[in-house]
Amino acid sequence: VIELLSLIIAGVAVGSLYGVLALGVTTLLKGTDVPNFAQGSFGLVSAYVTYWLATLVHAWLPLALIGGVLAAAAVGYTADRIAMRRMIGAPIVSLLIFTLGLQITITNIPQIFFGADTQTLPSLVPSGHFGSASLNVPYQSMLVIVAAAAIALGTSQFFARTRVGLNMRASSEHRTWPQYIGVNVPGVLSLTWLLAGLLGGLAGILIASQTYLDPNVMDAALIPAFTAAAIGGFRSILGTYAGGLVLGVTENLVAGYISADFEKSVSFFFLLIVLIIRPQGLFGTRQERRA
Amino acid sequence: MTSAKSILRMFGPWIVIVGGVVALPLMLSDYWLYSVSLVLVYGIAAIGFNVLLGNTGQISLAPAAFFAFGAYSITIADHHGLPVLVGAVVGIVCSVLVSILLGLITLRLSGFYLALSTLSLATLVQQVAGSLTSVTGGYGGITAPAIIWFHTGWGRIVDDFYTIALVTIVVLIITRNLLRSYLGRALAAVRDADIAAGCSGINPLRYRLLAFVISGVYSALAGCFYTGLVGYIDPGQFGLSLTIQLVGMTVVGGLGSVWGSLIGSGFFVVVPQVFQFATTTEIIAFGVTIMVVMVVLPGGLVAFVERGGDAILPRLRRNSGALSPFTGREVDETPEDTVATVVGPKGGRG
Repeated sequence: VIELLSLIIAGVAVGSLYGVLALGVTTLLKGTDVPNFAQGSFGLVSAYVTYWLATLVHAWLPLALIGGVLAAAAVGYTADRIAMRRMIGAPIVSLLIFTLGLQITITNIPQIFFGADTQTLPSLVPSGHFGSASLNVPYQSMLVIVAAAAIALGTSQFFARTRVGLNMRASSEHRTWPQYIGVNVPGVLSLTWLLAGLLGGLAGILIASQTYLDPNVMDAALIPAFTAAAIGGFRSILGTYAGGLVLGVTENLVAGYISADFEKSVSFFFLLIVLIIRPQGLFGTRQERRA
Repeated sequence: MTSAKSILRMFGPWIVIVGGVVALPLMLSDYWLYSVSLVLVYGIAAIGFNVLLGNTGQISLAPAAFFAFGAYSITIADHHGLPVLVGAVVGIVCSVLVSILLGLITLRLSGFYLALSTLSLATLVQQVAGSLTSVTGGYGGITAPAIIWFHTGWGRIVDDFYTIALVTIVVLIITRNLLRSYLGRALAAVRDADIAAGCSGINPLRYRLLAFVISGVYSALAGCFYTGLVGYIDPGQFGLSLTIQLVGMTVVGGLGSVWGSLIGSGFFVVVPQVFQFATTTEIIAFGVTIMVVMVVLPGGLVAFVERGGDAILPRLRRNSGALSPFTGREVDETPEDTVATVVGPKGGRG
């Protein structure tokens, strides 16, 4: 039982990371209908900027964190202003290919400045753990779990309660109608990209602090993040977060009880099952034309 | 009556091409011959991918997985003493089966779902190839057999080149003829107006599936010859960056154009070598090119060659109205005429 519990706790920690990365994916799909394969790259930007500020410039750690997240948000905003705004209404395939180009570009930029070596972020919390020797939760994992839950809750409240969140939902629903009641649709779309960059940045810092930092670290989380978003029906914020948790826990249980070789195939089968049985997601709220 | 003139017009270009291919090894160093062979191998995969992306408007992110099927099938067959041809057939059959299975599940949904599930498949294949150490050599890699049909005695790379060039020419002819037939027009109809196509008796699902299978088969074929050329494979070669490379070649060359795929492939293999880019710079330039092309020149290099500055200038002047990468026109212009072209005025097969 203790083994099971510790597997579940570790799974929740991993799943929180998937969930936060997936939040950005869902935000963009919810707000702009763009499937963003560069979401992990936003995380990479914030993690590397934080690393640069904290260890090479020796900035105060909270300041370095803020700088990293802002840098990622800026990248998201710039991507929209320079390119995506010109592609409003383009076929989804074009948008998707564009984000692939963005992904491969950003992933390779850190190598120029920092090399391909593995780096570590300064730890955000003291090392050590909570609980007994056999069943314990490292402080780092606790930080990830709590932060992820807070971010997910905040994002969902943002969409549900604020005027800007409402505008975002309206702008994704239709590109011109919201303009008749005074919503600046292109501006709102830019804000959505900013928000996605922000969320990606937060995810990147959490992922890099929990694991390590190298140019490819986000790739491993990208497919699970999209699967989590699929479980959330690509629309529900809390569903996406829950999807991440379910995925993380399942992966850990499979690795613990069956074989670590199967761990990474969990995402694939989850994705297929969700697509076959409930394309609107396990927590999806509305039916829409998917074909 | 076919006069000598019309025969010449029909076969003239091909005679030039075949003559050029035969003569090329006399003009190029081994290094460049290797590069050109690589261009052709990637070109085969890009041509198949273009049938799916350019002609059918669906995107798959699994060409790397099918590439790996071909590559590992012939390698494993060779290590077990089987002929390379058996391996190639097994790899292609695997690709067909997996394409059908995955396609049936996801092609009913929107293009994004296909992209997502195929990317997931590609990741899975790469990981399986990495963890089945006893069969595939794991992440350490495995030596691969050569595929050579010509023995000229001018060195291995020349033999390789002739073999690959022959396959490429066959693939080119087959694909071009396929796309000019009913199939090609049906695919375009499904791409531009799937409901109208369905009403006209073209089953969109069936044609999307067919295009998906074609792209899988071509990727597997390219994987076989890629393996024969490089002689050594490991799972790292079949990752997301291979997929993005193939997407980039297809898009930059020009969607829906068979020759465009080859041009795109040549662009991405030759340009970095001319400028002596480091690998990182090369990939960054690659990504930036993809983004610029998607925004500014959705018709790809072929459109630029055909229409010159006209293809790019309107895009820079105006600020709204996205262009369709398939037609080069503004997205809002609906191509109702495509379906009429396919089924003809009375609905018969043209």
